[in-house]
Amino acid sequence: MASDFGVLDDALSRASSGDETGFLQLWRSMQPRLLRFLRVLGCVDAEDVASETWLQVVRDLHRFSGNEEDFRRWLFTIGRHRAIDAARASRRRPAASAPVGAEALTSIADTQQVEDQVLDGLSVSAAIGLLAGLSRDQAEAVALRVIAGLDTQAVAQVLGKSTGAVRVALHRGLRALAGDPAVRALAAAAGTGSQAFEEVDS
Amino acid sequence: MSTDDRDDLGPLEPGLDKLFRVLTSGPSRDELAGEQDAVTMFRTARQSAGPPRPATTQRAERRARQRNWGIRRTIAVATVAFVAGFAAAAYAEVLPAPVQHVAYKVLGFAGVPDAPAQHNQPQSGRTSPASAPAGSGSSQSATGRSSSPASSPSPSRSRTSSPRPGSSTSTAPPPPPQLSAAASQSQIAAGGSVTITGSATRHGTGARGVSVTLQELTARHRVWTTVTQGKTGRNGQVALTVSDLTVNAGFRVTAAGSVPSAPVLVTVVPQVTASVLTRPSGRRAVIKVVCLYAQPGNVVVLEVYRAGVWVPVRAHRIGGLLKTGFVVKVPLTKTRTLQVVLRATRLHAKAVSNEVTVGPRV
Repeated sequence: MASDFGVLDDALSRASSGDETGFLQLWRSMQPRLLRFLRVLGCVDAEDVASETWLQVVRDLHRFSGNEEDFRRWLFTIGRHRAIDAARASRRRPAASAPVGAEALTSIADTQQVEDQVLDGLSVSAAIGLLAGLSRDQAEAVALRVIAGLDTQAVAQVLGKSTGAVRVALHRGLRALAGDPAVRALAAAAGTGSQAFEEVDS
Repeated sequence: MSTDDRDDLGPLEPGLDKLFRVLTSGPSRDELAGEQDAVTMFRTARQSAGPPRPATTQRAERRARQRNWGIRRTIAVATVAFVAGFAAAAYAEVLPAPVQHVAYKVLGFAGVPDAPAQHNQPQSGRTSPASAPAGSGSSQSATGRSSSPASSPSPSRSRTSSPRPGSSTSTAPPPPPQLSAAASQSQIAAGGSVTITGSATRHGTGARGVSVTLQELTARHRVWTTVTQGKTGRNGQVALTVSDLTVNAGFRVTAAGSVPSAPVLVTVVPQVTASVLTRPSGRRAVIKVVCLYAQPGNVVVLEVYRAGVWVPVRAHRIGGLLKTGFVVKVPLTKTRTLQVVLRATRLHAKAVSNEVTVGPRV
């Protein structure tokens, strides 16, 4: 996914002129990151919000001008706005926002557990959970910087804040993440093998 | 985002670096599940936008919109005038009795008086109310009532719009089944087989003939991949066997339109064999260790049995041939019992070798 950035200009220009394959290339590259960003923001139904985001994108794509970085900024700005709208709507209709039943929650929890066990102890959803645990300002700044791949200035534009404020939020967010026991465990896990090896061998 | 793009974040701690790598890792199948919908949306948007239209067409459309606006304005003014006139007439009680009664029903809260008591009669309230026979009004009314259902299209509409019970049961698709999965064993020897039983139920009873797909998630592939497929039998269950399983895996069953089952984890235990090779001098022995289905670099720990417990004494990483060896002293008079433990990783569970003994020398 990382290698896609910077090579999507051609896909973007093709999509703008109505080429389906160009759009598909854009979508495949951006959709996973958009979903992860929306989940960090706490969207109950990230897929729905992402669909609304893409709907607005395809509606206005012929009016868009700019390169791939501009497109990313535009996409995540729309995504953020749609997420805010969805949160407002769910506050107005609390009953409708009840996401799933207890069985489904159990199922999700089991899925998470198994994925964590099977993979390297940190699945994508667990990583998203760590970011979501930050304050809203910090989570948005870190998510836009890391997941969306925007530079600090672009993050500031998306959030409507000064670059300095974004830098402060980023710094505090990273510090908070680094102090999280789960992240520290990840760091420790990297060196566990050799430490144990030396300990027993001595 | 590549690591270079994060330069302004400064040097990252190992934990943060790993966290960010996970956050920017490749897409899962679930994340790309809406691809077809997205393409359809794009296609629809392109079709509805259509080709660019000439300016003359746009001017004609604008003129048509202006004409429509004029017509709408006229209709609105006429409606307001009619309602105002109707209200004034109702206040003045100059309307025919049935109409006055309707006006009373609608505007009664604002003080519009009701028609006199004979409002049920078809004649105007002012035309000899007493001359009308008592029965004629009721019969009229009854006639009106009896004619009303015939003239009203609503019942017939409702009949035609709602599907017949027989046809609804034969054509409506059954609801998607609820899926669950269970493994015959939660832990197996590496390279062995495991049977995953997929169950599909509708309203608590087994759903027969449901095509289910068994999917697998491993640390190697990191996305849910299809292993095999099957169809549920009479009891709504299907047994799907996975053979030659060499790494830990999560399994789930999916079916079209259904939520995937909760996954079940099956861990594998590599085979660890320990053997003793005594050196010619007899003072040293080599504990040779072979780990099948482990990975190069995995850690094995030599343990000795002392006072009723296994005590770790030394650790090695296994090499590319999945072998390693421990050189130990052979006790002079005692027998020492040893075993080797392969540590668990995300690919496999912990494995313990057979026990071996060294000594005594005499």
